[in-house]
Amino acid sequence: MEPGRPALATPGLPRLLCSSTGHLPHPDPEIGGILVHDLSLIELVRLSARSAPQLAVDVDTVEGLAHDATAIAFLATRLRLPVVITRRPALAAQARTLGCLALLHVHCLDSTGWERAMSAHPGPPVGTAISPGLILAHLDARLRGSLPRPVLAYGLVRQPAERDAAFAAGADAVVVPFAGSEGTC
Amino acid sequence: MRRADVDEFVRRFRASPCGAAVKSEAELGAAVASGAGAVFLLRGDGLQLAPVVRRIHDADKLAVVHLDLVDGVASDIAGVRWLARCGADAIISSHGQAIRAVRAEGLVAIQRLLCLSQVGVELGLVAVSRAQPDFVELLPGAILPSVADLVLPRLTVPLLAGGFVRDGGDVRRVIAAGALAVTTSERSLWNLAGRH
Repeated sequence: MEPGRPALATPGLPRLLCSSTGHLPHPDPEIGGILVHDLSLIELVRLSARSAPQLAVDVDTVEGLAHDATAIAFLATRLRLPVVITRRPALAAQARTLGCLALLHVHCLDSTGWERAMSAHPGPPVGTAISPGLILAHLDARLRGSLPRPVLAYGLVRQPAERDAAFAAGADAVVVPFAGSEGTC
Repeated sequence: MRRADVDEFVRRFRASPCGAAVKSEAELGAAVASGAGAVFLLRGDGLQLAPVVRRIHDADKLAVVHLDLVDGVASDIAGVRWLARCGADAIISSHGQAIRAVRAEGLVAIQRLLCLSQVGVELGLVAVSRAQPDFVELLPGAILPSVADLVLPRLTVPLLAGGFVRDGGDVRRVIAAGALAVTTSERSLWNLAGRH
């Protein structure tokens, strides 16, 4: 495949993504995609080759993958992953240029960290993955409104009520554990 | 001023459940004039801290320094010794090795538990069990009611909660969920009274 070729013409973000650290869950009609994290590069390549729901990857947690432009080009053009999440603004912007739906991963621990992370946000069309996803419902409207969209609530959303609260707080998508499993989120 | 021990921190937090988290000179001025029992220094020149700590002590408050966030001081054993010499009562860090050094220096050790994901919480709890801090500070504190079942059964030390705790209702919910106290930059909460 030619380097620089877009992964998908118009990648989208499913409303519900199932969290996985290397295994594909049983099909669930409610789940539109899988977000893989904390897995090895070999496992990621194996998963990407399988027929599966739309795959998103948390780049920074993939063991064996460098945090550089070559790695992003590999994910976008060779593995053709439609959704890429990273804490690095330059890599998020690059992933978007290569045709991925790119989300800047913002660790939302306190107001100080929030300001630092948001000041480096490339802005639209790069969206935002907020961790923990639970915090979205605790942010005031001004902060929520400042988030470049789409917004993904990512991390520790375990209960249906928490998922609903994240959507009510403006999330375009939410990461959830898969039902009946030991899945983490 | 004699360096405070864990019991003194607990007593202060029970009297005033919101520690003042400060990042600027203006916030420091407000904090030392407030009813908060402890001031948490999250910014500033770590190499010029002694006068700042004295100012906090002169206001009869406890001084807590964030080792990972102040400028100029490394998050290592020598950095911990420097902050001890500056008079800090307690040191916060996310690093287990630093926490062990804090305890070895006879200061109160507060280890941060960053709650971003279940994997992260699990790893953080393992780090806490190895480092054996005197307190754990959970971030973001506002979500404690939703993650208390993951965290509290694994802790044997008092829990603080910091991050996006915005008003008195949040403070009450977080304390009802199991926190001893809150750390916050929200000045209106610094005068909140607690249990005596």
